[in-house]
Amino acid sequence: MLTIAQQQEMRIVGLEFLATRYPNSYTADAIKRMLMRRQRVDFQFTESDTVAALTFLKDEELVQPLLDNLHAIPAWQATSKGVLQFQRKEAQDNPEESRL
Amino acid sequence: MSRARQGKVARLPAAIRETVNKQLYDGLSGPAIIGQLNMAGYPAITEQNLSEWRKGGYQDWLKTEGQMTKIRERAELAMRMAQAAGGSLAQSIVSRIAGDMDEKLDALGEDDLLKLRPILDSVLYAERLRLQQQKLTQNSQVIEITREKFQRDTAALFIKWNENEEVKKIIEGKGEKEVKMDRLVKLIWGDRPEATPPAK
Repeated sequence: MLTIAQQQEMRIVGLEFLATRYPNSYTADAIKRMLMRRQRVDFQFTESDTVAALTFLKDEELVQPLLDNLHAIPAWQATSKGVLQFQRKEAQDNPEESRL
Repeated sequence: MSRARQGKVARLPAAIRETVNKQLYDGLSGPAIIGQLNMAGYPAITEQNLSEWRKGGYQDWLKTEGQMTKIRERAELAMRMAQAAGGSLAQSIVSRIAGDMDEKLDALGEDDLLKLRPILDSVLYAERLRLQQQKLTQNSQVIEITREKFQRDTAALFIKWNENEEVKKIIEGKGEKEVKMDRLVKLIWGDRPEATPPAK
């Protein structure tokens, strides 16, 4: 079970992951695997934790689950609002780089 | 202005720090990285030091434009490949294929990716050619359909105008064939619009 701080970190990392790779979409399982491979967070988490973070982001309209006729499991994609929010945060964190 | 990091990893020489970052990026485990640091003559780094670095300095490094650009480039490459392979597939499926490809490319090391790049480019080129070929086939089908439509329309016009007295008069009258044709065209389709003079 993740702590509140860890859940928050999962949301931030999840949005960063999808916004950076927009418009690609990924299943929660793939997102979990890639985040773990890159050791993007310093704690263990499960696919359910990933889905919980994505669901929270979905409620904020920052990501969306895509379903099609070929797959039963949704693939997650950042929304344009999500990409924009991520880019604004990036600009805030790195004002020197974004001044151009 | 951000304060310089003071942790043990932060105080390592820049080249060693870069190596640690790259090893973290490539998914090496903490003990493996510490083992290599020990062998390189830096025995004082513990798992705790590395863990703190992972949360701080490594995150800064990850956020550098270079890393982000690489991730974006790889995602774009996967998207282009998925689009090339997808043809008329729905956008949601293409984006999923792109994500799937991106994950596979992500699993490759940086060196493997560089080696693979020319092959991926060739695959993309082959797909582009295939799509162009498909487009040409579709174009010739459109031409064939247009030709059939033209023939049927002409036949319909022939039936419509066959009994017309004026048409009969033109056909049976005296004069050059070209003149008769011009008169028939004018009668059936009317005057052609004046050509618009080219803009100066």
